[in-house]
Amino acid sequence: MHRAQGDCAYEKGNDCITCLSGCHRDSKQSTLITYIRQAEKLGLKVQAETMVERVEPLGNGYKLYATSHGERVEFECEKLILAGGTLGTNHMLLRSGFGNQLPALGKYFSTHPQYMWFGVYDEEINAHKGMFQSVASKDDRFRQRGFKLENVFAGPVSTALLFNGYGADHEEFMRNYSRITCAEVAVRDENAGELVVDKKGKLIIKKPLTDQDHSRMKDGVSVLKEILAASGAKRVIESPHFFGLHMMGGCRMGVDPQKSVVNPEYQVHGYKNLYVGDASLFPNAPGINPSLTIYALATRLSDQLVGR
Amino acid sequence: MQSNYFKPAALKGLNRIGDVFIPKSDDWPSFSEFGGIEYIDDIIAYAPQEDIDSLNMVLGIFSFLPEGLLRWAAGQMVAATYRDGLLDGLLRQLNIGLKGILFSCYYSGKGGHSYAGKNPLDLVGYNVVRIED
Repeated sequence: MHRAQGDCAYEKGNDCITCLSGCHRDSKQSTLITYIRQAEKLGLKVQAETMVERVEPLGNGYKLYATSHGERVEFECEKLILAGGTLGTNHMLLRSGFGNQLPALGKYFSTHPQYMWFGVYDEEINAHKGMFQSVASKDDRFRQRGFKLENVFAGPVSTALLFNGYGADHEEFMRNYSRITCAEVAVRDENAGELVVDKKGKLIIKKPLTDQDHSRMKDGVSVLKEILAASGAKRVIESPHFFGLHMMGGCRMGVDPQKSVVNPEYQVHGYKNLYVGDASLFPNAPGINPSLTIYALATRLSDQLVGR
Repeated sequence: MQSNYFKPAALKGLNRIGDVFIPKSDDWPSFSEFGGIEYIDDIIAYAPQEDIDSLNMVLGIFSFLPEGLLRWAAGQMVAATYRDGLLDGLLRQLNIGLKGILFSCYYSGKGGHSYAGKNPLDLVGYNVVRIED
């Protein structure tokens, strides 16, 4: 299975499990080693560990109020592209009061809910060795039914976290670490979630699961349990900790300012030179990992801004 | 040991609840015995101050709760995963938040300066090869 990778050195025995928290070989083609490196050569300056708390229109541009290493800092600009990730971008706009003019801000939020299952085998599997993921299902019937299956594994910290037992149960589970496989059902969920801020300006995530979401989850789980049993798992364990892995929406793209936040040219409705360039502009959940779509949208936005 | 983020009572409480989640068994070290808590500041450095304040309060309570009540609290945190009562949302947050810290300390590979037993990573068979070039 080919992913966005350079040279993972599998043939030399490299283990990619740590890829989840960053690639020590720079083989993983994240924005840090692709777009940002290219942009730095063209003059981009990265202001690391700086949290933007408020955005205000200022003349023909915008002013940003931020905290950097404990100090208050301010920035002014003519054109502003918000790309803080779905949670970051929505948080900045909501905390800055843009919701008063943009009724759809924070709405239509989706996450691709994930349901993890473990299979425990008699023989050693050593799922943490070698390639991080080697097989993907391209069965269209799963996608048509609103879910996808993905084999995935994690280091001991995350694996222990996903298991709900403690004490002796935890020890028994973790002593079997080398005999465990893990796979997940990822649901293409309805965009029924909403992001809001409380009185203190803290981001609150509301993410109800709809009847359709539950139905798709049950459908996917039944297939996954069949696969684990057929592959020889002696015991199948459900992780009760469900989570959303891909944060999307809240600044959905559209033509109606009542039902969307940015127009098809990425500009926030009613705010000249204010753009959104991340997954928060997704109108709904695509049902697949969104990073390539985000890259494509961002590339189109940058082409548009430089007039290509 | 000292921490820039946790009060001494909170560190004591973390070790006590840690030993409920990860008790000693044969060659399997307890949470406090392994001593990964010595690196707690590395883990918590980027947590929001509000969360650190809340943890100091909860762990401070755990520092003096009788053993039986501590076990009961751990059981409630785990059981809340399957319930939807008034306090269960908070208990679920506490369950995930605490276990995140406990397991990060325990499975970091870094034990306390006086620990000489087996490393939990070796006990679970986690052996990762990193090819650098």
